[in-house]
Amino acid sequence: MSTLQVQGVTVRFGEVTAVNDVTLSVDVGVTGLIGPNGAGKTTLFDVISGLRRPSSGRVLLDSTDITSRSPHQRSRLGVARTFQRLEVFGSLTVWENVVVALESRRRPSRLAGGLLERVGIAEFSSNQADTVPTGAARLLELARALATDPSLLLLDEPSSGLDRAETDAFGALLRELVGEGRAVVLVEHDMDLVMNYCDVVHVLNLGRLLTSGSPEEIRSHEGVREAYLG
Amino acid sequence: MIDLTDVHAGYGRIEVLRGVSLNVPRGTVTALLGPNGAGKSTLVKVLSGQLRATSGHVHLGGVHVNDAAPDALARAGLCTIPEGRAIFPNLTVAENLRLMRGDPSAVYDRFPRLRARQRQLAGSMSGGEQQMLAFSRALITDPAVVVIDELSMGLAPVIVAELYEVVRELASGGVTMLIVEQFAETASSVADQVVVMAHGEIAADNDLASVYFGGTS
Amino acid sequence: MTALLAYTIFGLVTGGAYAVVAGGLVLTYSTSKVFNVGHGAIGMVMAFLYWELAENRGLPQWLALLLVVGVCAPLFGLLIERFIMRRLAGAPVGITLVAGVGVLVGLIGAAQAIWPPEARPVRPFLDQYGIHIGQSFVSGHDLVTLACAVLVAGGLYFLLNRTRTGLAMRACVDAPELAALYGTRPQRLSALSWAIGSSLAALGGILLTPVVQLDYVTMTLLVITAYTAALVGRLRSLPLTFVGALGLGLVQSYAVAYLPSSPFWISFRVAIPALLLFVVLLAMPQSPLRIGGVRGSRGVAVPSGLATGVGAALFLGVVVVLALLVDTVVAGQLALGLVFGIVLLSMVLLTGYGGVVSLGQFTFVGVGAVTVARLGGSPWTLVAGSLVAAAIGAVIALTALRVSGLYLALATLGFAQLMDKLVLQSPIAFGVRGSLQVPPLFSSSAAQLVLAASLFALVGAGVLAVRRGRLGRRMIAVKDSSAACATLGMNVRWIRVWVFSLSAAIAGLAGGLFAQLRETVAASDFQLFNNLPLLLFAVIAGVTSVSGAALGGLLLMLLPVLQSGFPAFAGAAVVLLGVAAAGLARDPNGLMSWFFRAWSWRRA
Repeated sequence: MSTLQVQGVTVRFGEVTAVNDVTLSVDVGVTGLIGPNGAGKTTLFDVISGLRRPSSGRVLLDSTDITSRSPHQRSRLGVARTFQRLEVFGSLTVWENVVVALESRRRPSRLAGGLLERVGIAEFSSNQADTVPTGAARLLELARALATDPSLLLLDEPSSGLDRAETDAFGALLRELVGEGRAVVLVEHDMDLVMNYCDVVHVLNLGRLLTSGSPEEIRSHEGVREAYLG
Repeated sequence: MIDLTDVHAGYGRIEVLRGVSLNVPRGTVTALLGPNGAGKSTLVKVLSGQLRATSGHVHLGGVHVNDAAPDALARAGLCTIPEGRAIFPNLTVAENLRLMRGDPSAVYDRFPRLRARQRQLAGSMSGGEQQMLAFSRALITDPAVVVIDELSMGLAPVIVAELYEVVRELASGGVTMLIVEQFAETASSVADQVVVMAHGEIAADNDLASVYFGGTS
Repeated sequence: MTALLAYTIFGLVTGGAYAVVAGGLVLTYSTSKVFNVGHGAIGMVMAFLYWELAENRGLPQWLALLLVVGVCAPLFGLLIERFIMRRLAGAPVGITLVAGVGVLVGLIGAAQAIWPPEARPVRPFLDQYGIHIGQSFVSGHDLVTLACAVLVAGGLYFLLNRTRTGLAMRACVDAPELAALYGTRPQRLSALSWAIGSSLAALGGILLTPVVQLDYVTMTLLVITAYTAALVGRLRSLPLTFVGALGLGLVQSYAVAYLPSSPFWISFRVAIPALLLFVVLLAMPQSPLRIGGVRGSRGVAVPSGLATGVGAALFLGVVVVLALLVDTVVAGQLALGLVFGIVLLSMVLLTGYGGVVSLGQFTFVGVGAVTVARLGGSPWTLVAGSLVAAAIGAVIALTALRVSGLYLALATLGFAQLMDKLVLQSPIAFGVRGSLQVPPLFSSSAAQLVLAASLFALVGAGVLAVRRGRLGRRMIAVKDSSAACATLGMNVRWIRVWVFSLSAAIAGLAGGLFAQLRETVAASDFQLFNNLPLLLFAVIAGVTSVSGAALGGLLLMLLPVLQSGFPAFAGAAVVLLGVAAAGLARDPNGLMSWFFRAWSWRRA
């Protein structure tokens, strides 16, 4: 039984079909979701996290149909995400950002320090969140998502804004999260990260699922190279 | 013609361009490639005057334009076609063309599908037709410089081929062009110069495959 | 049948005038993205100016009309655009709203200063002419109004569809950044649209004078009708706006004709535009959760629990000493200032922390006052007043919070008008011209002052405790990113309802205090217009801090005192208030934060 099942999801914006009949499943481990700009990756995240209703299709979490559940209900069922265009709470401090998330799941606020420590941004703890560098803000979103103790974690371009060393540390953290029994979905453009850390990779192009497979299979897949390199 | 020297730019405290230098000689075509988040669109915004560089210099045709407003640059002959559908969806096709201040018949000859849709709202057309309409501006306004962000994004290969056909025509007419793309092959084939961006900088290694697939391919 | 025709004609005529006003509003909003709350006030001032030229100075009507609509109004629109609105380009809705309210209040002050209250009859146009349709008489003025509406509709249609400039304006509505890339000059277009918009406000105002009389507030608030019409067109579509305006004119006219003439129904008629405003807003689609980009605002530093306690004790000490020193009148005034301060504390919570701009906060004060008055004024009734206000706040929040930003602010405006006309003026509350007696809790002003100060300190400490605690963090989180809040498991809607009703509870408490302090309260104390200076003082003094609330409350108390003390400056004070608010709108931390900054600079 998969943690997450996306069944025949289609999203239309007027005339444009952003996601076209996509079916895929996600298990514990790191799942990569890649594809060129405009492939529909973020839209698919919006559908899974409940910010957008699909035009058709279903989303199942642990075999429960959650298609009509609101975002906060899904969060309580264990779904958490980060945003490609940052959504940190800019007026609050970094520490308060995490505390808000902990409190929303009725977890003790003393855990905040540990979470910041874990993603490696404890030094920014008392800074107002709209003043920290992009990389730190991305990691803050990760810490905030982890504060809800998710079973399914959706990360939208987590490595953009991180330098090489930070990206490696982030990769190590991904392994730890999987070790804790979480399913992580990664929308990512850093192919090193995808190839080194993902167990399964799904490739989207023009809203359709182009192919799925192990990183090796994806690397040698002709269609993928074509979608990326023309 | 387009000259960027050590340009830094970003949003608030977030720096996206970290010292970009780029030169597009007059009458040539440059393809700017790179993954999402590399800073390509930010670079286009700096060029078009929509975003001010925090440091460094931007020259267009030898004129220092760091502080120029987008509308002033446009009137001076810079045609920027931004990412996404760069048309006015609630105006008709004919109205969109009228706003471009050029001879629409040239467009209708080049893209007959648009002639048939003259009175239709531009937003109700297919993505490909919308991109043709957006691209028409480069065709009829007689620009000195054309900057296009993500020309082929989300379009079917047939349409992309049709649009690149026009790029070739413009290039042979001596228009200076900067084409920003993720699709590499098509862009590279018309370009005099290919530049790859990654992490807000011009990559030293001009091989796109290595940027995407980590050199192991 | 004859009557129906007559009322239909009358409805179309007023609807036509509304359409002229609303058309201007939509034009400015769609090209500059600033919703001009002061639109009606511009119409009002220009109608006064027309009276000055045509009636007082004896210019021919047509010349006066031409001068006002063709010269003065557009120039004024240009000035506002150049010196206020252009600086606010791209600012959040709250800021542009406050600037608009500043313009509105400033214009009312200016009108009062230049044209002191007196009867000012305005001759209708072409009053010697008229035609009979069946048995109904259509006056020359009616015909002129209809002709103007048709001309304006035709003119705007021609401008937007047949001219380059109009095409560029529509392009700016669609995609302003792209329009700039096309070489259109956004600032020039915005200036033009403000000039035309202001002209249309003037024309509409002048056409309406024979119907509604020249009056500062009534004419200004007539724009609620224009807002409603504009919202029918979703602030974009001119044809729908015109349809909405004509519809409103007809509904109002038929209401006069066919609704019973008991006091309730008379109030109901006045409330129709507000009621429809509310209905139209609720028919809007649910605002989506906004995604994209970090937003944050720098508030003033939040003191710790200890510092709050020390501050409150010091504050109370000072007040007790003051209460012993000053005379009865001053003590009473200071108490009133602190009661207003408590109202502003409710806005610190709602606007300062929660980011919701309410144009109806004074209404909750009225609800608290009525409850206390009706229940006889014992200390417990203060709690009851607070609870009733909270309950009404929750109901409003549940219905209105589906929309956000500008629409929400307009909904609170509509709510304030509805409550004023239908509830506060009804027999269950104050009655139309009625007032209620409330026994004071203390007969001595000094004791009243200490009571007000104690409650201010208590509520202030409470607000700070909220800010430091769980609810405060959540409120601010929802303001910064509602999408992130939802994906972290928060029910954004309930948090908003909480904030709204908590804020209403504080305002209701202040209302109870106000009632027993004043001893006589009437519906006119809580009318819609009183909300506007409240919002301005909140912004000027600082809507993010408790000290800002205290300062704002005292200023609000001082305004009428100054006005009656120096009648010559009465209008000027209001103008100053408007200008200050329009200028300070950018910094919600207000004057208090300047003091804090100056203070920390001296210590450094």
